[in-house]
Amino acid sequence: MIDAKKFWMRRFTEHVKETNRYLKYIFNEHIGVAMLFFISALAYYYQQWLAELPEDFPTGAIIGISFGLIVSYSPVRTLLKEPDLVFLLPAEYQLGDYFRRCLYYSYVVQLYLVFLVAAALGPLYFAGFPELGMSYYLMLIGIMLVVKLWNLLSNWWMLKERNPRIRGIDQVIKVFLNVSIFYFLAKGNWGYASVVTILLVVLVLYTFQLSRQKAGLAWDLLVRKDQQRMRTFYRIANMFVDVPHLKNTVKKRHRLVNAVASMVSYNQKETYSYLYRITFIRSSDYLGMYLRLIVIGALAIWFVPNIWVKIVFALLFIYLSGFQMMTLWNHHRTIAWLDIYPVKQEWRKKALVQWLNQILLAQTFLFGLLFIFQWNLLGLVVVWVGGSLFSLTFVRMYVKPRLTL
Amino acid sequence: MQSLLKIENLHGGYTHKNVLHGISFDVKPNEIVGLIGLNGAGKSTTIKHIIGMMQAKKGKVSIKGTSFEENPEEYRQQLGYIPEMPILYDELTLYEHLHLTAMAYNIPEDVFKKRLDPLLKEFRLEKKLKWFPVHFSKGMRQKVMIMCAFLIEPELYIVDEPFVGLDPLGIQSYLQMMEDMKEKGAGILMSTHILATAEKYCDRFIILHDGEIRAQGTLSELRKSFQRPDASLDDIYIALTKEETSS
Repeated sequence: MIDAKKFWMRRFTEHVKETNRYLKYIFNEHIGVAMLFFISALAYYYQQWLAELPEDFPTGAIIGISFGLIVSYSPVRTLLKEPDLVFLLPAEYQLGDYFRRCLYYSYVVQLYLVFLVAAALGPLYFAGFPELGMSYYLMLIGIMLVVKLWNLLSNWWMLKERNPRIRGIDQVIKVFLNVSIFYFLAKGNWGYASVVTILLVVLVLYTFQLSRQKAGLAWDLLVRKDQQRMRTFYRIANMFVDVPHLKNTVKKRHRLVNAVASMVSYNQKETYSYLYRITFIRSSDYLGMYLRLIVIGALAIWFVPNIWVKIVFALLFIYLSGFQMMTLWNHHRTIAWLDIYPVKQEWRKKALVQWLNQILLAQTFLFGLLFIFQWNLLGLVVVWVGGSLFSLTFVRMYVKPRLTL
Repeated sequence: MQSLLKIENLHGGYTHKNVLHGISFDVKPNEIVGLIGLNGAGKSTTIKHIIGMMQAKKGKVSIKGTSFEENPEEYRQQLGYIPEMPILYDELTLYEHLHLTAMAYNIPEDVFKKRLDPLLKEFRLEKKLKWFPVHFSKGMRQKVMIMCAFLIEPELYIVDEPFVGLDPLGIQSYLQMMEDMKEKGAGILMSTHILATAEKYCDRFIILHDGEIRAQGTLSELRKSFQRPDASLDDIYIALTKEETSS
C-alpha cells in the first residue's frame, strides 16, 4: 500500500529543490540589476504612452486575449518520472490523493502569472475604461481565478484522452471561449459574457463526462507532458547556467560554418578558435541567443527617445551578450579530448577571448548603425567608442579571470 | 633498443585507495604490446595514467624520456589515443572532427589532405563527411576515433578495446593499419578482451591482475613459465585466474 500523501511530499520536495537550484542561477544579481533597469525603463515609457492613449485603441481586445490565454494555459504538473510507468502503474487506484495534491500545486504555482499580467495591464484598463473603475477590475481578476480553475480541471480530465487531435480541438475551443468571455467582460457586456460562460461550463462538464468513460490514466502521456514542462524550464535556465541533463540540439548551418571556419587559419594555435566558432554557430543556445539579444536591444535603442537611455541600453545588451556567451568556455567540459590534445591551455583561453571580442565588437557596430539611421551623431560616436572600450574591458577584466579549468 | 613508452613502478588510483600497485613495463618501437586483464584489473587506469589524464602517486611514466609533468605538450604530441567509448563533439561533422584533430596535433595542411582520402576509403566513410555523430552507429563512432589516431600517425598508439562495435571489415582495416604503422616504426599498446585476436597480432603481452603484473612476455615465454607448451592465450589466462581463486 502506497502512502499517497507521503509520496507526494517526497516528490514535491525533490521538485522544489531542483527548481530552486536553477532559479537561483536565473535570478542572480547581474540579471537582477539588468532586469530592474529594463523594467523600470519600460514602466516609465508605458506610463507616458498611456497618458496619450489613442481613442480607438483596442484595450478590450488586448485584455480579452491576455486574460483568455492565461486562463487557457493551465497545465497540470504531475511530477511523475519515467520509472513510475512501471512501478506505480499497478497502484493507480491508491494514488487519488497524490493527483489531487498535484492539481492544487499546479493551480497555486501559476497564480503568479495571473497577478503579474493583471498588475501590468491594470493601468491600461483604467485608461481605456475609466468609467468601470478599480472594483470592477478586481472582480475581473476574481472571475479569472474561477475560470482558470475550471480550465485546469478540464485539462486534467482531457489528459485521459489519448487522441492528440481530440485534445487539440478541445484546447482550441476552450481558448476561443475564454478569450470571448474576457473580451465581453472587459467591455462590461454581461449579456454576451454570460452566454459564452454557459457554453464553457457545458464544455467543461462534457470533458468530465468523457474522462469518466475512460478506464484509467494515460500514464505515458502524463510522464511525457511533465517532462516537456521540465524541459522548457531547463531550456530557460540553460540560458543562464549550464544544465547538465539538457541535451542541446545541433543545427547544421553548413554555409555559415564554412564561411566562419574558412576565416580560421590552419594552425595548431588556432585549434580552439576552430572548435569554439563552429560550436557557437551550431549549438542551439549561442547564436540564437546572441541574435535575440541584438534584436531586443536594437528595438529598445530604436524606440526609447532619450539619447542617454539609448546608450545605456546599448551597453546593457553588449554586457548581456558577453555574459551569456562566455559559457562557451565550459561547453565541451565532458569531452576528454580537450585534456588530451597537445595544445597549450593559454591558446585555448586566447581563442575564446578573441572570439568574444569579435562578437561583442560586431554587436557594438550594429547598434551604432541604428544611430546613423536616426541621424544621431553624438550617440553614434559614444556608442562606437564607448561600446568598443566597454567590450574589450569587459572581456579582459571580467571574462578572462573566470576562464579556469 | 630504446623504449618508446616506459612505465616504472607506477602506483595510482582515483581515491586514496590505489588501483595500481607498482607496475613496470615498456613498449618499444616496431612492436604491438597487448594489455590483458579482467574487468577491474586496472587496464583503463593504466591507460589514463599514460595519456596524462591521471597523475602517478608514485613511479614514473615517460615517452622517449620525457614525462608528462616535464613537458605536457611535447609528451602528448607523441601519442595517439583510441578510447574505449568514442568521444565525439555533437556539433562537429565527421570532416570537422578530422580537421580539428589534424590542427590540434600540428599536422601540416597538405599532409592532412593527403592522408584524408585513403583513410576515408579504408573505413568506407567517404560519403559521410558531412554527417553528425548523432546519426552514427556505435561502430561508425569507433571508426572516427580510429581514423583520428591514424591521421596523426604518432609514434605511440594507446588503444583501449578497439574491436567492440566494429564490423568485421572495420576490424580487418584496423588490424591492417596497425600492422602497417608497426612496420613504419610505431609502438602500440592495446588493451583488449579478444584474446584470440591479441594472440595473432601482439608481439608481447602484459597480464594485469588486481593492479599488479602477473606475467609478461611473448606467447612462448608465457607458455614456458606456465609449463603449458601448446596452450593458447585463452588457456593461459584462464589457468592464471583459476590459480588465483584456488590459492
